[in-house]
Amino acid sequence: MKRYQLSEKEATKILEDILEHCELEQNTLSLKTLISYSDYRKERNAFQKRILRIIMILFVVLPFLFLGLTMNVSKRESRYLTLYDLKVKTYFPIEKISATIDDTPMAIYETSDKNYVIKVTKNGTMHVKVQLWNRQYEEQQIVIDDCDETPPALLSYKKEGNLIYLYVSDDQTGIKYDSAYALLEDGSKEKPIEIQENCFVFKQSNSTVYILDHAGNRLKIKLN
Amino acid sequence: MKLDYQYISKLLDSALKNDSNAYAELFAATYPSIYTFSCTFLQDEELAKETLTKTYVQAFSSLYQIHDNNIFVLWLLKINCLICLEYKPIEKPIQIDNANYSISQLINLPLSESLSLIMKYHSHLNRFTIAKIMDISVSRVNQSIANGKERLMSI
Repeated sequence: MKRYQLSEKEATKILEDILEHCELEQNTLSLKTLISYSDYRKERNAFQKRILRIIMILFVVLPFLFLGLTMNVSKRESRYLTLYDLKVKTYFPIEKISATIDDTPMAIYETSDKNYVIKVTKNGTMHVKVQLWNRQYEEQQIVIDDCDETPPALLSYKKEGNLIYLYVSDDQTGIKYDSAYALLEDGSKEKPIEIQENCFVFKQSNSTVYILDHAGNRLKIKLN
Repeated sequence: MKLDYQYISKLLDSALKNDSNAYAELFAATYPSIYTFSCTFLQDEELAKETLTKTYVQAFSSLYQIHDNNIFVLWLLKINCLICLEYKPIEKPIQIDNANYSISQLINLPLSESLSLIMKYHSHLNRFTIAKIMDISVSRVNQSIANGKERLMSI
């Protein structure tokens, strides 16, 4: 649509005519001034008011953007696994938690609100980092040297007729006796015939025996 | 434009006490809408200027007649519309949804319905422009058009 607009001069002239026709005095404030004041507009100072509102909100919100957190990482007593408790104290929601050793991420489990357990699977320096939604974060480094990374060791073995006796040991988390099995050529699994202390008895066959410790490290022995 | 009608009310009170600055401010607040309406109605800018003067002379002389200050712009538009019709009478019927209506039928509708329908079906303005001229929301324009059509059909 064509935009129809009166020039300031034309509008002033028309206003003069109107006031004259109505036998009124001429206005003392010029039309230009009245238009520039625009007091009759609802949205006067709307922009300034909006800016002021934003500034006020920022002043209220700003301190919260810098509120941080405290965290505590402590070792949990566990017979077989290397576990660490992570407790976070903060009023804000947590955005991200990470625990890594040489860039390898460790599994983290939430046990309750802002309480976590880190399952450590290797030795080294563990970096624990907790970040809040307001980008504030806290980091901690813990040296891990008691993690069982070694699989059970084969001490000796003996053959008696159709049976083979495997003597194994694990100094750290210990052998997980019920985990031992032999994987046969046809893909089937066979449990040991007998389990004694540190000794597994298997049938002599072309198979591979697997024995795990409680940390999940696996000993692999090929029988033939 | 969205006028502050509380402020307009104060201006009307001052104008009734012969404050010429209040008259001038009322003019400043409303003349762009009235002028646009005149131009689109008459399709003649020189004639529109004449009707603008006549409209305000008539309106300022009868300010005391306004009972609802919130319809000040609509009231001015109605005066302007009647003056425009004096300058350029509409002989042909106005077609609205396959039915023909005379301008007097439209004029006799309630204020916002009458103006919305005239601007929509005579001046062929879009709803946004109508809303701007009438200083009301687009949804109110739509409502006025719908109500106006319903009222016309029931005549």
